[in-house]
Order: sequence, then structure tokens, then C-alpha cells
Amino acid sequence: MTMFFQQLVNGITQGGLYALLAIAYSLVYGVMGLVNFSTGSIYMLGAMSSWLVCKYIIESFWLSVLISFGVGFVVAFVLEKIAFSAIRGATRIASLICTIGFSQFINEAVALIFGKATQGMSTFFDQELFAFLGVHISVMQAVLVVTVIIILVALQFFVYRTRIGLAIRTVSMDEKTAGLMGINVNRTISIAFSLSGACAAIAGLMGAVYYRSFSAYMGWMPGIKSFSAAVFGGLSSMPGAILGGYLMGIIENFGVQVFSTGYRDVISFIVMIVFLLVRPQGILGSKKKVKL
Amino acid sequence: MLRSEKICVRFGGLVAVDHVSLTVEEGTIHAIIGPNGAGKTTFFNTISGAEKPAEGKVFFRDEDITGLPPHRIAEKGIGRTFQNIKLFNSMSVLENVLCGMHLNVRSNIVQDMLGMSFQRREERELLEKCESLLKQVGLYDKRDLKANNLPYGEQRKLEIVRAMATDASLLMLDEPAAGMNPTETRELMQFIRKINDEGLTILLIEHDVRMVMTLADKITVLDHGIKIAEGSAEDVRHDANVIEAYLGKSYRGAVDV
Amino acid sequence: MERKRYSKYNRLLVALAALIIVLILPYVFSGYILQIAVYAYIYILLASSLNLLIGYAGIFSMGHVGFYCVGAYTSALLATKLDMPFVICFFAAGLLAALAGAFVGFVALRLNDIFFAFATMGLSEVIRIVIQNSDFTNGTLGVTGIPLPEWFGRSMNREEFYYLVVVIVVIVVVLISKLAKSHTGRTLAMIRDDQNAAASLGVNIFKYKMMVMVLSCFIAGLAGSLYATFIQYINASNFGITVSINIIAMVAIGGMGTVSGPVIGAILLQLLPEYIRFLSNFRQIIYGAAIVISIMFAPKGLVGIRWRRIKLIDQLCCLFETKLNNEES
Ligand SMILES: Nc1ncnc2c1ncn2[C@@H]1O[C@H](COP(=O)(O)OP(=O)(O)OP(=O)(O)O)[C@@H](O)[C@H]1O
Ligand SMILES: [Mg+2]
Repeated sequence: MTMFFQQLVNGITQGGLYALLAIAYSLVYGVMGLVNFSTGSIYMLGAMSSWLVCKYIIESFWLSVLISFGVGFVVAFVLEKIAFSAIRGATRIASLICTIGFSQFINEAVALIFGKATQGMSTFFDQELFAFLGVHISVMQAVLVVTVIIILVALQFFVYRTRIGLAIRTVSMDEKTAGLMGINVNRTISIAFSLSGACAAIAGLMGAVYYRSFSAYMGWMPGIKSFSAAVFGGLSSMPGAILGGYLMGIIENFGVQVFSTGYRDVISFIVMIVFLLVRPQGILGSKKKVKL
Repeated sequence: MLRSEKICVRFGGLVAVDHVSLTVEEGTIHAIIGPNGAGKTTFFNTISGAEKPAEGKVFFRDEDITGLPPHRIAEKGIGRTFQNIKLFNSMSVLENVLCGMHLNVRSNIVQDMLGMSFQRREERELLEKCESLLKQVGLYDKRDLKANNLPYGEQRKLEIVRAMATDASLLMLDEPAAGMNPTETRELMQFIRKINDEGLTILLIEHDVRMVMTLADKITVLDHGIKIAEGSAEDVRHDANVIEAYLGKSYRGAVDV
Repeated sequence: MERKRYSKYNRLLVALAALIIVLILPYVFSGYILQIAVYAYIYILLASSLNLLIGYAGIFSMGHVGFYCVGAYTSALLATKLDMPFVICFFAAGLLAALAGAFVGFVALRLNDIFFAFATMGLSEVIRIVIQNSDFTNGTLGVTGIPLPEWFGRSMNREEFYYLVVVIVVIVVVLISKLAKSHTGRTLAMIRDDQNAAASLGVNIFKYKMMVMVLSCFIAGLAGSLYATFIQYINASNFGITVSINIIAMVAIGGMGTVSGPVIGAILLQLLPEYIRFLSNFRQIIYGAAIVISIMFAPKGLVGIRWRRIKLIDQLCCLFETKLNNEES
């Protein structure tokens, strides 16, 4: 039983990271029907900037959050301008390939500058919050969980209660009509994209804090796994993506108990593949029909 | 030749096609008209297999073809064009027509890799056929242009030729005159008349009233997915339901279309 | 007309020069450089086969490495565990990879392009991780002691194997180029351009996608077998997603949907970082940047760039041509 709760707590913590990343995918997929493959790299950049802040400026969790947010936002903004705006009208495949190129470029550039090795990260909130019947929860875990929830709630508020959010949702439904209704489609896409970058970067910061490390290649697996999570919950629905993220975190942590740790990374892929085949719209998503 | 029986297509709550039955006689030009969103294109899609009907059946030459995939329906001899033109834009005009010959090509992937000699002969025969088709519509001189470099009206023509290349016996044209200027439309009308005289049965969606009235042997009118009238041009022109559907209730009986 | 004849002439010249270089390479170099050359040839197979999917049929697979891996392991295990001769290992590798491709295609081809990409990537990772954790495949240790093929009662040396690889690559590329020009090639292009239109003309899209998937995976499997046999040691960790991305880079940079594009892309991306020493640290970064740049500025790849548009090159070409012309007359 103790084991069960401990895994649940770990799963929820990790699921929060996946949820943030899954939201990042979902935002972009919503407005452009595309997948930004470099989301994992922006995650890594978020981790990197917080690592740099802690190492060279001040060991502050909250400053790191701010800086990561900014870095993710700006990088995604630039990326959108280059990879998508500049090649509007190119095929979807070309755009996807372009983001793959970016992802590769960012990862390798960071590896070149800071080395390929894993670097230690300062620890925050290391004390134990409480231990109950052998279930350990650290302050850090609590902070991560709460921060993620705050961000997710804020994001929901932004998307469902503000004008820009309304624009984002409108463009997601029908880009052409949105344009005709006087919505600045390009700007909306740009904002959604940048916001998605910011989410990914904050997830990266959380990852760095949670695993107490940073490395140039740390974005790979979370990037792919959280895409699986987004597919799992429903790529076209933001609540779906969040649900998928949390479920994926929990499933993975329980899965490790059932299978050996060597297979840890397979679990999320199998979940994704099964869902793609059985229910491609995910748990909460809805099917979009294409008109001839 | 083609018979639909009480076809229904639903999109969520919307009934796009509502129990539509009609019969297309062999050798005729049959037109479907109706206001925007009446369900005409959806009806086409159902026949060509792109959309599966929730209810109802489609028969082609008395054979049940309901729910067959699009390529099987093409094999049966039903060709179509699309309302928003769907040409192969990476290819030339001539290649587009060659694509239409797909069902006439006998070679398979292995023979293609080995490059058998009979294939070159086959390819040459197909080429000649395509070229003569292109000559008929006056696109022969533009055969080497990329398809999307053609003017809009000629793209429509090319799409028709491509559909004809499949050796279809029933041709379904979705708003073929859309985007054409009056001269082009007149030419198109003559062309449609001509291929009809040569034996092709034609099912036509068109908003151009003059074209429909002069060409069609029979007209079916759809509105909100429901068949509201059917008959010759003359019958339809004076039908009260049709006038109402197009112009609204207040015009009922007031005008002669 | 004049231009056309010359461009054909030029191309023949280039092909001849390339062939000569390829053939004398083992006499000039040995060891490491030979090895790099063989890698480049194997990557030609991989890039050309992936190009069948991406460039011709518009199917975006990000899991090509998975089939390469299946081929390599099939060949390696047959050779080491069952002492099978190379011919059998080689074709078995192709067949098993094709079978895997057929299976993946059957379950995943009805997905849309992006989902297909991620599904194949996921599957290729699953394959890798399963191999890495299974005792049958020697787990993380990999398979060692894979023998080179035998002929005339003795084991081939590496130079002879080099020529074998060259012959196989040439055969495969020629077959692909024939396929590309044939009606099947045109049918794949139809599917890539517009599936609805293709279906309305009687194209069985699923059938064609399956065929090209099987063919492409078959070639990737063959490439895997050549790799395992040449290197004589394989390890699942060499078959990660990066390899898929490298192959994609080669296709995108060389030119999608052309025969020569992937060939040029593979050679360029494989050789440049090796020969230009200071570049080798930047190898992966170059791949990344090259992908972005080529998609943005040369969407048809190096092959699609109209070099003649660049003034200097055009002038040089003209000079060369007039010279040839003078010599002829
Ligand atoms: N794939 C789809 N998903 C949801 N609704 C659809 C779809 N296709 C068509 N509809 C709806 O079904 C109705 C009929 O559409 P359809 O395109 O058949 O009309 P139409 O008669 O061809 O109109 P038009 O003259 O404008 O071409 C419309 O209300 C349309 O919005
Ligand atoms: Mg319509």
C-alpha cells in the first residue's frame, strides 16, 4: 500500500511535467494542425536557463521560473517566425522536418557549448514535507505539483476567458473563417506558439529541479513521451492533454513496478501507439472531419 | 443507370442529405441544383464512395455499390470532378491525364522496376490516347505546363478530361463552370453536349441556371438535403417549392424564374 | 535542344567520373577511409529507400532506423547463431524487415501523416528497447563476431566486400530510378499530391502505400545486413532515433522525390564531416542546420537548385561547353 501511494505521488509529480509539455503540443496543434517537434528542445532550453541562473546569478527557484518562461517564449516566437511563417504553404511534412532540424540544431548547439555530460543542478526545497506511513513527500514535490497546477489553471483562464484566448480557440476551429471575422490569424498563431514554448520551458525547469540535473539531451524522452501523453488524452483538446499528461506520469510509474526498468521508456510508446490505432482522437478529443 | 434509394447522410446533428432517391437514365444529362449547402456535393460524395450513407442504397447498373471504397466505385465506371479543383500539382497537364488512365495500366510494381519492353509500348498507346483527349478540349498546346499554372477555367477542363480518361460511363461534374468566363462556359456546354452525344451519361451540379436549363434532360432540386422537385427544365422553372427555396416565401408565385 | 544534349553529356561525364573514383578508392585508401565510404554507400540505400516513402509517396516515416535495425539483427543472428551463408542472411534480413514494414504499415498507414510519423518513431524505439533488453539478442552487449561472406572457399576481405556493396547499391538505385519513372512512380505521386483525387481515378491507395512501404523496408533491411556484416559487430544502441533523423536530413538536403537527391545527400553528409577534420565535432549540428536551411531556401534540395541561376556558375559552364564544342568540331 505504501508503495502504491509513493508511486502515485511520484507519478503525479512527473505527470505535471508531461501535462505542461502536452499542453505545449496541444496549443500548437490546435491553431495550426501541426506538431512542433522541437518542443523537447525548448524543454531542455528551459532547464538550461534555470541551471545557468542558479549557477551564475542566484539560486532562486522563482527567478528561474521567470527566466525560463521568457526564454521559452522568445525561442518559440523566433522558431515560429522562421520555421512556420517563412515556409507557409509548404507541405506539413516539410514543416515537421524543419522543426526536427531545429530540434537537432538546438540540442547539439547546447551540447557543444556546455558539453554532453549531465550537469548537477542546485537543489531546492530539499526538506521533507511529511512522511505518512512510509510515503515520503518532499517540499520540492509539493512545490512542483502546486506550481504546475497554478500554471495550468492560469492557462485555462487565459484561453477560455480572455480575448486572445478566444482568438486562439476560434483559429483552432476554423482558420479561414476566423480570418474573415477580423481575427489577426498570424498574430494569434504566433502568440499560441510562443505560449506553448513558455510552457515547455517551464516544464524543463521543473524537470531540472526534479531530477536535479541538466544535460543537452534531456529533452528527447520527455518531448516524445509527452507527445504520447497528448495523443493519449486528446491532442485537439487542452483538458485532454492535461489529463493525458497526468495519466501518463502515473502509468509510467506503476508500469516500472510491473515490467523491469529497462522497459520504462517503452510504456509510453505503447500507450501512444495503441491509442493512435484504437482511438486517435484520444480520451477527450473529438474527431475532426475533413471536407472534400 | 444510377439509382439512389432514400440516401441519408448526417454530420453530427445536421442531416446533409435526407432520404434522397433519384434515378439517372443512361445517356442523359441529369442536373442537380439547389441553394448553397443544400447537400449536392455530399450527395456526390456518397455516390463516389468518399462518404458513407447512414441509410439508403446506391445502385449502379442494378448492382449494389453502397459503401464501396472510392477506387472500387471508379473501377465500376463512375468518374467525378471536385468542386474545389483537385489536380496533381506537381505534374504536367499531360501527366495529369495519364494519371486518369490508371485503371488501364496493366503492369505491376515488379515489372515497373525491371522495365519490361511491353510497358514502353503500353505507355506509348496511353500517351496517344491522352493527347487526343487533350486535343478535344484544346489543351494540347499546354500539355507540358504544370497543372497549377493553367488558368482556372482550364484547370476545370483538365479535371474533366482526367475523369474521362478513366473510361467512365457515368461522369459526375461538381460545378464545372464555376470560375469560368462566359466564353469558356459556352465552350464547356458544347463540350458536355458532345461527350453526351458520344454516349457518356452525365450527372451535373451547377449553379449556372442557363447552362442547366439548356443542357439538362432532367433536373433534381435539393434544399436542406431534401429533394423538393424533379422534372424537366420547364417543370422545375415553375415549381412553387423551387421558387420558394431560392427566393424565399414572399416571392412565392410572384416571379417567373 | 542544344542545351539538353549537353546537359545529358555532362551528366554522363559526372557519372563516369564518380564511378571511376568509387572503383579505384580501395587501391588508394584502406582502413578507416574505406570504412567511411562503405557507411556512405549504406546510407545511400537507407536514404533512397526512405525517399520512396517521403519523397515519392508522401508517407512520412520517422522510424526507418527500426527496419534497418531488424535487418542488421536478423543477418547478424543468422550468421552467428546458425552459421548461415551470407546470401541467406542478406535476403532474410530484407524479408524480415519487409515483413515488419508490412505489419507496421497495416496497422499505422490509416493514420494521418503526423500521427504516422510519431507512431513509426515510437515503434522503432520499441524495437530498439526490446532488442536491448532481450537475452536472445545478447541484450546490451550486442552481437559480436559476425563473419564476412565467403566465396571461393575463403572469407572475403574488406576490399572485396566493398565492391559487393557498390554492386548492390548500384542495382538498388537503378531499380528505384526505373520505378520512379514508371506508372507506379506516377501513382505514388498521385497519392502524395491528392489522395481523394487519386482514389476517384481508381487508385487503391492503401495497396500502393503498403507496396511502397514493404519495398522501402526491404531495402532498409538489406542495408542493415550489409552494415552488420561489414562492421562485424552490432549493438542496439547504434539504432536510435538520431539515425532516422540523419537519414531524413540526407533526403531533405539532397532532394526529396528525386533519384539522385538522396544519393548526393547521403554522400555529402556522410563524407564531409569525416574528411574535413574540424567539422567532425559539428557533425550533428550541421545536420540540424542543413535540414532547416534546405527546407527554407531549397525545398527541392541540392538537386532542385537551379545552379545556372547563379551567374558565376553559369559562366563557368558556358566556358566549359564552348570548349567541348570546339574540340568536337
Ligand atoms: N465533412 C463535413 N462535416 C460536417 N458538415 C459538412 C461536411 N460536409 C458538408 N457538410 C455540411 O453539409 C451541408 C451540405 O453541404 P454540401 O457541401 O453538400 O452542400 P452543396 O449543396 O454542395 O453546397 P454548395 O453549393 O455551396 O457547394 C452543409 O451545411 C455543409 O456545411
Ligand atoms: Mg457543393
